[in-house]
Amino acid sequence: MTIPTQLIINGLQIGAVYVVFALGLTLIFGVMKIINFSHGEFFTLAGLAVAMLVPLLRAATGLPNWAAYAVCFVATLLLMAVIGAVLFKTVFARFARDPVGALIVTLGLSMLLQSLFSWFFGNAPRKVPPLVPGTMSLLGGRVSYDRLIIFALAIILTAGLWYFLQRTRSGLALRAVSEDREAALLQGMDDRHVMLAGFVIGSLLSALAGGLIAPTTVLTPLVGADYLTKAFIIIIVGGTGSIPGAIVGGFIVGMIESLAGFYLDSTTALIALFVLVSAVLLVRPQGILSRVAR
Amino acid sequence: MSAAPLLTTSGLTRRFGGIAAVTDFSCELFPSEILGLIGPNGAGKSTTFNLLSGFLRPNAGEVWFNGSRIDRLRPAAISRLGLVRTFQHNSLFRNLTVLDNVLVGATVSTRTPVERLRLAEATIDQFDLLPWVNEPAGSLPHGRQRLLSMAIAFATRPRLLCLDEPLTGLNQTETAKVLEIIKRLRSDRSTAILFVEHNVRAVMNLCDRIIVLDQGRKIAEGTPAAISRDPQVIKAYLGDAE
Amino acid sequence: MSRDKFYFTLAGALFIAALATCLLVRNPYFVQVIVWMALNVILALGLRFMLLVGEVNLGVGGFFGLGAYTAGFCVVQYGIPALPAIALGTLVAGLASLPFGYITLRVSGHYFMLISFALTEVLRLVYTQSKTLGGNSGMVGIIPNIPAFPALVVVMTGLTFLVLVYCERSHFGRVIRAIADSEAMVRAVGISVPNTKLMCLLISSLVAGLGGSMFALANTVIAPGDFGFLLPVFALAYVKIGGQSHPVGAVLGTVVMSVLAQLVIGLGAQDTLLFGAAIVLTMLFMPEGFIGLMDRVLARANSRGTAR
Repeated sequence: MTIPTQLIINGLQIGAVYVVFALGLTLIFGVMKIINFSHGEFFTLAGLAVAMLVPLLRAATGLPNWAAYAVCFVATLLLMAVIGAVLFKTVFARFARDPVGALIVTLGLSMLLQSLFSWFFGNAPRKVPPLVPGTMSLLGGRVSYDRLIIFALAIILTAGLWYFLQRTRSGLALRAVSEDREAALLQGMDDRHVMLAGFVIGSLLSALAGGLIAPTTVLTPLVGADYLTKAFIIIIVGGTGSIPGAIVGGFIVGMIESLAGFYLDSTTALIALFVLVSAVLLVRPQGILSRVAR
Repeated sequence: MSAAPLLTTSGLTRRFGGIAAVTDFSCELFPSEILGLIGPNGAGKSTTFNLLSGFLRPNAGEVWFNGSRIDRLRPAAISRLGLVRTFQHNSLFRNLTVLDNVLVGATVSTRTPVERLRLAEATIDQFDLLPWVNEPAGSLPHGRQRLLSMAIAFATRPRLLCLDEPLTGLNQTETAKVLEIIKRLRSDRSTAILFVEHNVRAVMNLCDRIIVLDQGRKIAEGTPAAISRDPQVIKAYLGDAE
Repeated sequence: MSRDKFYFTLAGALFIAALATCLLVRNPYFVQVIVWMALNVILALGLRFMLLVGEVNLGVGGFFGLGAYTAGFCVVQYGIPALPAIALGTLVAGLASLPFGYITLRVSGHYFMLISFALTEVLRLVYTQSKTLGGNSGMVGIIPNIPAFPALVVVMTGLTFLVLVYCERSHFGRVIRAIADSEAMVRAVGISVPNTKLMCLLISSLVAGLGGSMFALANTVIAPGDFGFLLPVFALAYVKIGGQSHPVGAVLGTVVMSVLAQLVIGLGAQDTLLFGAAIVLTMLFMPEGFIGLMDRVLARANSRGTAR
C-alpha cells in the first residue's frame, strides 16, 4: 500500500507548484484576455537566479542554506516585479485583448529571453542544495522536508491569492475586469492599472513557482517551457480565467503525472493528459469550473 | 384573418438565476401581418426575441413556426425555416463591402452564384443602398447600417422578419428613412414582420396588432387603437418618459 | 498599379526565381534552402487560411507531421512511389482533422488555439513512442524517385497558393470572413457556423499535410523533433510579419525570415536571440507587416500618379 500513497503525496506536491504557476497564467488571461507564451520565462529566471545567488550569498556571508535561500528568494521576487512592470509597459500593454498578436510577440519574447538566459547563466544545469535535508515518513510514504515546505508554501500562497481576490478592493477590481470589462469600465474602473496589477501578480506567481522548485529540480534555461505546456492543459481543463479551475486542474494534472508517470512513463502521461483535455472539451467546453453559461 | 397562424408560442418562460425574464408568454402571428412588441425597459422584449430565434432556450413552453416545432432548434436551423432576425448591435459584417454583406445573407436562399448576385443587387436596391454597394459596411453612417442589416436579413427571403429595435439611436432623418423602407416592405406583403421597439409612435403607425409586455408578462394585445386606450398599458408606461 | 496586381506580380517573380534556382543552380545547399522555404510558405498559407475564419490553428504543425510520417511510412514500408505517397499523406492529415475539429471547434478561440497547440505537441510525443515510426531517431530512406523533385515542390507550392487564393476569393471565402466578423449574424442568416469552420479546418489541414508529405520526401529523413510546436508558431510569425491582410504576405514573411535565419546561422547560439528579437520588434513597430508598409508606399505612388 505504500506505492499509491507515495504517488499521491508526490502528485499533491507537484500539483501544488503547478497550481501556483497556472494561477499566474490564468490571472493574466483573465485581465488581459491573452495567453502569455513567455510566462515560463519568469519561472526559469527566478529559479536560475535563486540557484545562482544562493551559493554566492553563502560564500559571502556564511548563512545557513535555508536563510540564504529565503533572502535570495525575496530579492529575486522584487526584481521580477520590476521586470514584469517594465515588460508590461513596453510590450504587453498594446496586445491586450489581441490573442494572435500576443501569441506571436510573447513567442518572440520567449525565444529572446531563453537565449539571454542561456548566454548569462550558461546551459549547465543548476540546483539549490536542500534547505532542510532529510525525509520523514507520512501515511506510509516518504516525503522530503523540502517538498513538504514547498507544498506548505504553495498552499499558503494559493490561499493568500484567494483571499486577495475575494476580500480586498484591488482583488475585486481584478475580478470585475476579468468577468465583465465593459461593466467595470462603466463603473469607473481604470482597466490599465488593473491589467498592470494583474500582469505583475501573475508573473510573480510564475516566478514564485520557479523559486519554489529550485531546491528540488535541476534548472536549465528551458525548464519553464516544459511547465508551460502543462499549464496550458491545466487551464483548458479548469477553464481559462477561472481561479478555482486552475487550482483543481493543477492538482489533477499533478496527480495524473505522478500516477501515469509511474505506471506508464512520463511521455505517455502527457498523452493521457491530452486525452483528458479532449474528454473535458467534449463534455463541457468551457472547462470544469468556468462559470460561462450556454 | 382566417388563415392559419404562421408563428405560435404557448407558455414560453425563461429564467436567469432566480429572476424570471419572461413568464408564460403565448401569442399568435399570422402570415403577412405586422406585429409590434412593446413594453417599458426590462419588460422582457429582448429575451422573447432571443427565445423565438433560438439564441436562448426556454425553460418551459413551445414555439411553433409554419407547422414545425422550433424551440429546441439552433438559430441557423430556425433561419433556414424562414424566421430571420436582426440584432441591435453587430448586426452586419463591418469589414466586408455592402455587396458582400448581402451576398452572405443570400447564401441559403439561392442556388447558383448568378441567382445569388441578382437577389443581392435587387435587395440592395430595395433598401436604397445601391450608391454604396462597394463601400465597407463599417464606414456607413448609423442609419444606413441599420438598413443594411435589414437588407441582409431580407436577402434570406424570410417568411417572418424579426426586427430588434430597428429605430434605436437613429436621428429624425434616419428614422424616417427606415420607416419608409418598412412601409414599402409591408405593401409587398410576402413577409410578416415582428417588431420590438421603444418608439411607440412608430409602432402605432405601422403595426396591424400590438402586444404589450411588462415585467415578463403579456399585459395587453390588440389593435393600436385598442392598445392606446388600455388602462393597464397606460399604467405600465406611467413611469417611462417617452 | 492596383494592390493585387503588384503583390501577385511580386509573388510570381519569387516563384519563378525559386523554380529557376531548383532547375538551374548546381549548388545543392541553395536548392535545399529554397525547398525548405517553399514548404514553410505552404505551412504559413495553410495557417493563414484558418486565420481568415478567426481561429489560430496551431495544429498545422501536427498535421504537417502526420503527412510527413504517413508519406514516409508508405515509401519506406510499402515502397509506394512518391506522388501517391504524398497524396496519401495529404489525405490522412485531412481526415485526422475532422474528428479533431468536430470536438474542438465548438469552443471559443482561445481554447482552440491552446488545444491545437497541445495536439501538435502530443503528436510529436506519440511519434517518439512509436517503434514502427522509428521512435526518437525517426525515419530514414524516404527517397523520391522523381527527377527534379525540388522543382516539383516549388510547383506544388505555387499551385497551393493559387488554390487557396481562389478559395479565399470565392463565396465560401466571403462567408468565412463574415464569420470572423460576426458569428451570430452568420447563424442568423441560416448558415451553419460549425460546419463552415470545419470545412476551413479541413482545407488548412490538407495543405499542412501536403507540405509535410513533401518535406519527408525532400529531406529523406524525418524525426519527431522536426514537428514540435515551434513549427506552427514560426509559421504564424511569418504570416504576421509578412502581413496578414493579403495572401502574398505569408509568402513575403516566410521568404524574408528564412533569409534572415540563413544569415544568422553563422552566429551560433545567438540565432534564437536575433530571431526572437526580430519577431518582437516587428510586432511592436510594424504591426501590419511588410504588406502594411508596402500598402502605404503604393498608396502614395498611386496618388502621385493620378493626374491633378
